[in-house]
Amino acid sequence: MKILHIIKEFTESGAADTVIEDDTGMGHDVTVFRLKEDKDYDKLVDLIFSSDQVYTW
Amino acid sequence: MSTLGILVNSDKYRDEVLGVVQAAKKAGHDVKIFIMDDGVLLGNELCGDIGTDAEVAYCDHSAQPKGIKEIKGALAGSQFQNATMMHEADKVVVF
Amino acid sequence: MSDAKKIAVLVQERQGEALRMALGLTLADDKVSVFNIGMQPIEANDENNLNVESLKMMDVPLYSVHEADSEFENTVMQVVPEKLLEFDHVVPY
Repeated sequence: MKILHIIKEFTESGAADTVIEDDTGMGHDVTVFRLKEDKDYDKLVDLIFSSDQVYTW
Repeated sequence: MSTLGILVNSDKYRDEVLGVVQAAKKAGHDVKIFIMDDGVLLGNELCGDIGTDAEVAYCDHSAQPKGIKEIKGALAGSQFQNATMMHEADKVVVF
Repeated sequence: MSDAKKIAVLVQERQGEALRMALGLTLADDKVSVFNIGMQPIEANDENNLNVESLKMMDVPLYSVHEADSEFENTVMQVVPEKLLEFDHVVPY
């Protein structure tokens, strides 16, 4: 399964880290897109529509 | 053509929402936006930026207590519009 | 509406708005589930209590990593990621 995690900002609970680590550990194709570091929105939209599941943290 | 749903529940990501909307339109996707919570604080600026590139609705229940009487270019709605957007969208992102 | 989607609402910092939104999402006949994965149990106040009660009446599955959330099925964070894989949309709030 192709899973995209979009990281907007740090979350206090650390839930994003747990989900990303577990998705990766389960063998899924995980992509992490950090909004503060990467402003390539064309690439982001491509990733959104080519992924099976999208999280925005 | 696919539909991107964007839930805007914060007033911190104006540039990011605009960037994603424009990129999605360029790629041939439909874009629907629902604004609620603190997102209503940038509703008017956002709608001005976006123009006709997206169909926008907002939660009037969020807007009224924050003193926002209208978001020009957007439908004054309720959580029903959010439910409809999520139902119709192929992908959803949150800003 | 046909072709119900499966939507997971992840409650984090803004509990009240997350619960209000989750309840609203049932209006399109989608299959909504709620996971409280935030740092705190759901605060007991009139609005949250009403929303939780309404979600239960709508048969919305409620999960929480906090035992204090007595209206929720208790879970642990370690099993949440696998549960989330079945959803069309995951909405962290």
